[in-house]
Amino acid sequence: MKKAMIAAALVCLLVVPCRVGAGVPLETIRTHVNSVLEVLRDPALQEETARDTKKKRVESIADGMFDFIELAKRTLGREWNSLNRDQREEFVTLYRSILEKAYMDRILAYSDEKVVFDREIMLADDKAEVQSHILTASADIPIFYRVIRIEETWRVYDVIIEGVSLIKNYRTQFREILLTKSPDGLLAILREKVNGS
Amino acid sequence: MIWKSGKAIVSAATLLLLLCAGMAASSAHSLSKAVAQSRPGYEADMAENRSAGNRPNLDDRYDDVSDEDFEEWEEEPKVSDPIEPFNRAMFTFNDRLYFWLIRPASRVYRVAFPESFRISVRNFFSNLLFPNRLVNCVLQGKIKGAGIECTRFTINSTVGLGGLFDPAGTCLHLAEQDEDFGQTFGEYGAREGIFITWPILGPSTLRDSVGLVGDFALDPVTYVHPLEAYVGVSSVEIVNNASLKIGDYEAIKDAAIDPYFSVRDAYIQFRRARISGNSKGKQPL
Repeated sequence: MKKAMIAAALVCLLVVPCRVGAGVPLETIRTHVNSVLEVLRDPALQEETARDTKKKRVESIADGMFDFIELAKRTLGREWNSLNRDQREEFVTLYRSILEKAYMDRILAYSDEKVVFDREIMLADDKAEVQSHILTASADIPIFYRVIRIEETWRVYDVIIEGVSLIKNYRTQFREILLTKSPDGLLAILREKVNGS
Repeated sequence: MIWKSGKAIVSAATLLLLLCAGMAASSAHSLSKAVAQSRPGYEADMAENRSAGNRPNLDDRYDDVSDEDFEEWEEEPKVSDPIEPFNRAMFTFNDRLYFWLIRPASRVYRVAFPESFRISVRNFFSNLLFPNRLVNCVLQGKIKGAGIECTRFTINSTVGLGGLFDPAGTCLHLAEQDEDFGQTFGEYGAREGIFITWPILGPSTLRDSVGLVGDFALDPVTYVHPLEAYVGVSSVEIVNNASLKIGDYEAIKDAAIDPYFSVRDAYIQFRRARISGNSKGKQPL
């Protein structure tokens, strides 16, 4: 009887999967990244003419992967409060366009580098860091995604490449601009950037 | 005596069973979530949800951020940049130098030589910097790193044919321990000082610039004579390395609202992240 009890307890211990590093954030990001890679590697989309199709597909995956409102809030920090509701909405839209414009070319230029997901680290109950790296022929670049759980979905709010955080980098730039310009001035600069180049 | 321990075991087992049931349930939930998210139509559905305005509480997302949020997002110290006009001038100079000289040369070079060759050239120059990396690993007390560097140098110089190849890295997975005097000073507590942009050399700080003196002293290329040969060798190194990274600087410029601030901030973040005191994992949320 005693032995049976001990055996039952042991079986329970062995069968219970580990809760720590459950892998949902990592799996979420891995799924998104793999979807993007699938689009980029699709043999039917290799022509120049298919570039727009590729772009649109990658954009829609990015919409599901990133939380642009969280990104925008954290980039502006305190300054977010000095924008009114309309300005906030416009800022999120412009910020998103700038990021997509800036990084789309690099993403579309991808050929066959290997993307490896290493692990995830829980930063808080609803925040995690998913660590990955890209292996090109000439370099090994660590890329960490900071994700936050909003309404049961994990989304990216920061990307840290070789120790450089995306939102911190933009925060510096926006801060410096807001030292001499009003929120409307900042929005004007962003509009010009999106429409100009 | 036997009866008492039997009771204890029964209670322990029951407790364990309840615990297991609870954990299994939540893990099953996570597992099913992960399975759901890997379903092929997942992204399309998410996109549809959003565009259909099915995200509840969208209005709340645009509300003010609170003081608690600010504390969480607490930033690192600003970089000191009292000579910004000079730095901007140097930044512009380097920008022109890149677009008018280095990039065109790199593109020709890239056409002339295949990537594997250019990687070998880079490996060769990288291997020569072993003494600098070793000294700085030791000064920082990173004995394991020093050991790895010694192994890398030995293997890459012999099996790797004078440093052209990197068997220590590709086969033995021994990564290069990229340490320099600027980081060593940082480990010893030296503050970074003001931001300085040097012509040709690019962004730096006061501390890193002092460190560069040491880095040059331990770089064999520095001792190449005569001057023409030194310029020749350095140019090959610069153009070769640039040819492997064409597009990086352009991408940073494209992504930036103000390229000078963007490059300055990226450099500072990059350097701060390399110093153990601010190591990864300690970034504010």
